[in-house]
Amino acid sequence: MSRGFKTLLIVIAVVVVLLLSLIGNYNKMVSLDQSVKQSESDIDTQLQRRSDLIPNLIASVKGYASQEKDIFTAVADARTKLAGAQTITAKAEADNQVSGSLSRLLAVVENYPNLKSDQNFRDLSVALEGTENRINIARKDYNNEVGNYNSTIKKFPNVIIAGIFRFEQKPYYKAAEGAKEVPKVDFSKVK
Amino acid sequence: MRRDRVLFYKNTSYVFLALILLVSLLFSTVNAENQYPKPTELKYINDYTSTIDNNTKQYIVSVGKELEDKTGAQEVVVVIDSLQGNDIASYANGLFRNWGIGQKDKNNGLLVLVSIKDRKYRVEVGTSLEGAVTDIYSARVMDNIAKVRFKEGNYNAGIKESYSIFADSIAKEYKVKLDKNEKVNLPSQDNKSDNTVPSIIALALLAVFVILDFSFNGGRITFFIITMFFWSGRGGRGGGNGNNSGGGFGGMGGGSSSGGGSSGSW
Repeated sequence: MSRGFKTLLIVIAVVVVLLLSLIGNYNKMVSLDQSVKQSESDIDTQLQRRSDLIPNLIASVKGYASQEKDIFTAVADARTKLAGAQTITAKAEADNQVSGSLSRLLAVVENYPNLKSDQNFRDLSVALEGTENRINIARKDYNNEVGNYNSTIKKFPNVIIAGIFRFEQKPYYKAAEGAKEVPKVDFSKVK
Repeated sequence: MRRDRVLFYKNTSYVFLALILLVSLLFSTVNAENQYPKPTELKYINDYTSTIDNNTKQYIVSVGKELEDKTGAQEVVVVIDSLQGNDIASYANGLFRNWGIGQKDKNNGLLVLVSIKDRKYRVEVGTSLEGAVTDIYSARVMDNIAKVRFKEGNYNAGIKESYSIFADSIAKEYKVKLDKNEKVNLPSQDNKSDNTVPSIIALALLAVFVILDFSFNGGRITFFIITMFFWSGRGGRGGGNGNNSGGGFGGMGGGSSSGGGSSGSW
């Protein structure tokens, strides 16, 4: 075996090893990207679940508190805005608006003792609370996945592959301050 | 002569490095465990407050075991003293995932968490049991049964009765019936403190290495490790880990929850 041939073999070996590791890193980034998308759709599912609850909730509140028109409009508007939101940032913003208006709605409920003891309304508010909690968890999971993905594509040598194949940074799902509190009606005083 | 010295330093630094890595590894696992308590030997009933009496424990363990044997689902009770300011919903979800309640791909676990001092409870339901135990249903069971008992200060009855109802609902989902008269002997619990010993040893060892490192080596290895920790960041969450020891009844299954269930206070 000539010396030149040997060098060539070494070079080929090095290139193969490098390529393999690049492919590995590329695949890792693809699967992280998929996890982010998966957890984004988990958020969507829970947001939809809440949107489906809202008409029932409003209907049951209206039965007792029909004069609170402003709040019904605010909730309905926020819900429409959320339905039209496309990007994750827009969704987060609209979601915060829905949560905010729902909190106001539930605060008003405190003035209507009959409504608070209505079993249908109680069930709906349990369902709403459960859904808000699922949204919180889904948001946390999404942000974890995004953090994982973002830090991976920033590291060397992934940053080169990310540049070539256009893996871009993904935005976090930001919750408004105070919106982390799940809207909740205090039933402890109702018999 | 100089070369020898350099070599000597090089070798000792490797030994130092290996040892410190080992110790810090030990240390980091100890830390991670501190956030949530470890499952007790009784697996189905984990009382960290000595509120629950032996009869209740016996009952819950036998029903829980029968339920798991027949369906694979795991129904677990955790009674803690205080949430230490944590939100009960996120604490319950974190504990659920940390322990991995339910089977891994089925997510058929159910957790009843009661925090005595906060006077709060939460039922956290694994994804595939959300049909058997809906949010509304769990709220009703807890409202009408457990809450009433808790108000009287009768935690044993409240937990026992609600546990039994949820077990029946899960069994119904799997189309089986529970006899609830299986006799299970409780294993004795007296190895509570063995967890603190390794952490003290690890701490002492770590201190010794850091001192040695600073006096002979200018603290290079310590700094190296600190930077390494920064580089590796905080690391991801562990996910469901399937090999948690649950005493004589097998470990948890690695299941997860996406936040189903309901909470309340009394």
